[in-house]
Amino acid sequence: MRRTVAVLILVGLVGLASVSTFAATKLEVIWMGWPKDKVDVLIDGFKKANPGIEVDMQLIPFAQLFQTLEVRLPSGGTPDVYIVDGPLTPSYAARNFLLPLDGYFTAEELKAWFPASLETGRYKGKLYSIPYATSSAGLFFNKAVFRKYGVPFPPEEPGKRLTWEEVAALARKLTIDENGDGQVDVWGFMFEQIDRPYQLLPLVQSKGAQAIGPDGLTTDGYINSDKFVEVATFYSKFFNEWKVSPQGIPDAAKSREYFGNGKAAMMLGAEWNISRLADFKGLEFGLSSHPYFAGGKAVTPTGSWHVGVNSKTTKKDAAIKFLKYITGHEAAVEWTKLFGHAPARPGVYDALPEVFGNPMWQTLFYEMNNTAVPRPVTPGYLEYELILRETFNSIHYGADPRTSLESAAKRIDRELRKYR
Amino acid sequence: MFRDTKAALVFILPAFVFIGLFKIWPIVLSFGESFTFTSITGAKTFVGLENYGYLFTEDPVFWGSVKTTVLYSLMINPLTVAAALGLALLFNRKARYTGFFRTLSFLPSAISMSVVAVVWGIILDPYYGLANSMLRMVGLAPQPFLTSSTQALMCLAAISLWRSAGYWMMFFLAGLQGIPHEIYEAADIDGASGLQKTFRITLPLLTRTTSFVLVANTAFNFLTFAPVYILTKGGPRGSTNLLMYESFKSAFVNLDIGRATAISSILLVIILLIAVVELRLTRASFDY
Repeated sequence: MRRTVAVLILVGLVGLASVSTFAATKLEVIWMGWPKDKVDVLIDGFKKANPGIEVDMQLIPFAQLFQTLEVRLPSGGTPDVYIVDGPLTPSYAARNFLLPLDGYFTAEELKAWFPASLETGRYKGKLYSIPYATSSAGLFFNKAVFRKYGVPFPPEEPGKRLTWEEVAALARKLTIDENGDGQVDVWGFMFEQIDRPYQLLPLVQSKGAQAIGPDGLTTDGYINSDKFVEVATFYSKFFNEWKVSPQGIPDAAKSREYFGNGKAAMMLGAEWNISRLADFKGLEFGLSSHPYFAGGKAVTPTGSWHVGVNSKTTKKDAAIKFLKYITGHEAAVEWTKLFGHAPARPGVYDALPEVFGNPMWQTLFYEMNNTAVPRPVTPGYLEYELILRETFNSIHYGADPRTSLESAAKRIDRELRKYR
Repeated sequence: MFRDTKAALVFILPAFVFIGLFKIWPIVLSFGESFTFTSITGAKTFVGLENYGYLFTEDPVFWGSVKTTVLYSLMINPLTVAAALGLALLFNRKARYTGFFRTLSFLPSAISMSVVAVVWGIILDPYYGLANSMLRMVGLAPQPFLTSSTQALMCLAAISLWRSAGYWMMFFLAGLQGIPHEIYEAADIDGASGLQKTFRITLPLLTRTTSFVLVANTAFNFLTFAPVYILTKGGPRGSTNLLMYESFKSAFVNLDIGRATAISSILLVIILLIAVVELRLTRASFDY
């Protein structure tokens, strides 16, 4: 009997405790699976400033993030706020998953972001997502490896770049079996993202090929054009003919480990590597501007994460507050220090001279202002990316580039019918 | 007898209601969806057999996926049944340690497939994995494993075998316990050898168990998804692109519900056909 009473009292107390938290507005946020301790720093800042709003941050690993959103978004009003991959803005907007934001920001407020980044958040003239970061890429190289084998460094001043043919030649020199066991110990070159359009389309665009038709819904005649196939063939040679890049490295984190541990002499990688490579003790690396094809033009990738509000949210005010905070100046400064993404707000660059004084950032800054080309604008970016990824992945394993791309064009165009 | 039937029906009714609600009804719905085209606004149009027609005649990846799925099934099912039966025969005796070894073989099936996949992924890493380190230690050439289009599917089969053999072993053990002891005693009196007893008594009398394990295991393996999703994403070069994964991608990445449900309907038909064949092949010809 006594025990029952005790249990009842306990239950009552727990009940009370939970009632008191119900008084606050609870925002559900689906967020990219970055390290929780880092994300929490930003969230704690928000909670301090807004004591009435609880935030339930759901950190989803990159590999599952998009599928999670695909399952959650059609089913209603939660998450209230979610992270949006920039090029997916049209996809979500076309399906009415995003709240149009023009009414919540003054023209003055919008001046805080790079115009090109904001453009990525627009679809059919309306603003649907706010930039959280932007990105750029270049050729990272391991100085110790270059020195050890007596190969001169690639140029490091902004805008001075190698041609892809030169990169391939260097990679052949720097693919090394150190102990003669038939196993490569140092790979000459790696793509950080082996099959993602983000990293591979700049090669195609450098040759002057188009990634998608002007209507954003046609790939036949574009991704299977001669120029596109030519670049895909060149890409394939890294793995299959010259054998200077390892096959089957499926994700960026793994590629970074190779490069960070001295198992690759060069890596085409995004800006976050400047801060992430600092985790590797004793690694001395440099950054050369993004390579290009001789006779072609210099093209670099750009665009990154954005943030959007669910059009069906029942907590619009709190959601907008959170959106403004998380994409705002303080949070952006904090996040840059924590994680090293390229900020999408010019003001952050001025606020952090200790970070952006680094010559490598100057190189990337030059790229953002001169050579950046955004990814194709299409409401079918999900489908476009998946099928193109599978295709590049097959090509890197030795599949015939032309046949693979022909089949990709057929598959993508069928999937894009639903947007017509 | 009749009263028994009534009671039985009452007992299984709740289960049937839930199976109907959460299994049969979605299958019916999804079958219906496979005849539609969904535009981005969510509007559905009836397109008849268009999804099926495209899959059978034009789709560049569908037939490859069917072949892969059937090949995988042909590889893994006999292997699993043989391994499970072998383990059961081995551990169906009253000797020291058999309990320990039974538990040991059953343990892998208690781990979630996702965890199993991640761990094996680390072991099979072509450049720094444990498996290749061991091969090198004994002087053999390192293997590409999951990064080779000829080995990846076999690796998935091996992982699945490692995980499920112990599980199905339990069913065989239960079946072995159900064989009346008197039959073995009679055989002993007639002077039958151990092998004779296994092949003349044990295996024939286990037919029903074998039949169940084979069919359940076939259905289970046709729906393999997690290891593909985690380890290979259908690659290298489509060599592990099982139908279930292809259907998943269609539904949740390509937002093409028509194609996804057409694939899963075809998958269902394939499973049913194979199950019927298996049931016929392993029909018990006697009762005991």
